[in-house]
Amino acid sequence: MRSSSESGERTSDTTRRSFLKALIVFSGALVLLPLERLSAYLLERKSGTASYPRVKIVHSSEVAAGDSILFLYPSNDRSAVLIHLGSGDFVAYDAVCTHLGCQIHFDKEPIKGWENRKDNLFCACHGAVFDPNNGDVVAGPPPRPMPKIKLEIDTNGDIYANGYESGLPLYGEE
Amino acid sequence: MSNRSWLDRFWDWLVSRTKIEPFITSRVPRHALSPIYCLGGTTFLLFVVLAVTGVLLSMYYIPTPADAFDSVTAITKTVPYGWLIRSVHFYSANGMLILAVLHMLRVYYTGSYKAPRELNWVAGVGLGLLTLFAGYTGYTLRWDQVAVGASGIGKGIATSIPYLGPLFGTVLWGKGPGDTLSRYAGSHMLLIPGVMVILMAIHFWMVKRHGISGPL
Repeated sequence: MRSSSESGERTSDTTRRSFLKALIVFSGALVLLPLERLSAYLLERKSGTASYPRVKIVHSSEVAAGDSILFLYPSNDRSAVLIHLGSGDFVAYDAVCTHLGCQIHFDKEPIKGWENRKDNLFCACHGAVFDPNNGDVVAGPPPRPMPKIKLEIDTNGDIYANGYESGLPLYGEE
Repeated sequence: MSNRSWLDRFWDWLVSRTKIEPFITSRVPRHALSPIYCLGGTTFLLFVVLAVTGVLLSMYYIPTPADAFDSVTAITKTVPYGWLIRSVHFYSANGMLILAVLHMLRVYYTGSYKAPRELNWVAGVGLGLLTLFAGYTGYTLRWDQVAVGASGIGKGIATSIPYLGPLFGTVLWGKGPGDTLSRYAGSHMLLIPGVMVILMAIHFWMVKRHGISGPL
């Protein structure tokens, strides 16, 4: 037989033990419950292009042949360039150089000192040159071609950007 | 006994069959009941977190120069909760380095490295160096401009070692640029964690054998 003081201790001990058990079960549930949502990591996969918005850039009459404009895509902190090629086609590219992230330009009038870079997409930081027809690297250090933006021109002549045709706007996003 | 829950009876059964009792009820001296004595264990906890998240990341990561960066971007942007897994891996890696250094300082300032525990200090230094190498190889796996530059710096340091340098350079970098990323990936995911698990087993076993060092 136990004395009353011992049995008193035992009661408080039992309470503490059941409290700790409840705590363990509760914290175990806190660990396990999110796994139901986290299982999406292995079970589901979003498509890579679905997250880019369809955005109106400009009316096609506002950009003369051989000219270009800068616009913001896919978000308001990232520049892109729309070019009206001599052939009459419109093309658009991410305007953040794939080398070290400077802004690239398509200049009708060549930049002073870089006259031989006329009619190309040009990055002034390290002299990178991209082909405006397909975004390929023509000269300089970039490791990848410029990401090409998919364009849609509706019946009114409005030009829309809708995701990427090739490449993804990676620089500054990693 | 009849009023014991099935959970209690299952627990008793588990303890009696696994003989786990001495590991979970080991007594710790009073002076060691302090957060600074938990730094090594917390470092190990982060190693476990890194192993779990690392296995998950390896499900999507592609260790080839052409695909590495794009696969890392895909993990961050398109795989559900990929950003979370990658962030936990990244911050745990940084935390593990910090905690390992703090653990080393604790062992130094409490004199726990002294006889008879010198070899455990040596094992710990080995684990610390491997943690550094794991951090370095992990950071090159993104294979962006920074990572390519970092791997070049690593090769420069390795090859500057007298006599053995060129050998190390070849081992680390392989014979051509295509080899490099595969070797970093293999080191980061298999070689380094494998050796670390062995060294940690030795480290913990020696702690058990020697017990916690005495109070200051």
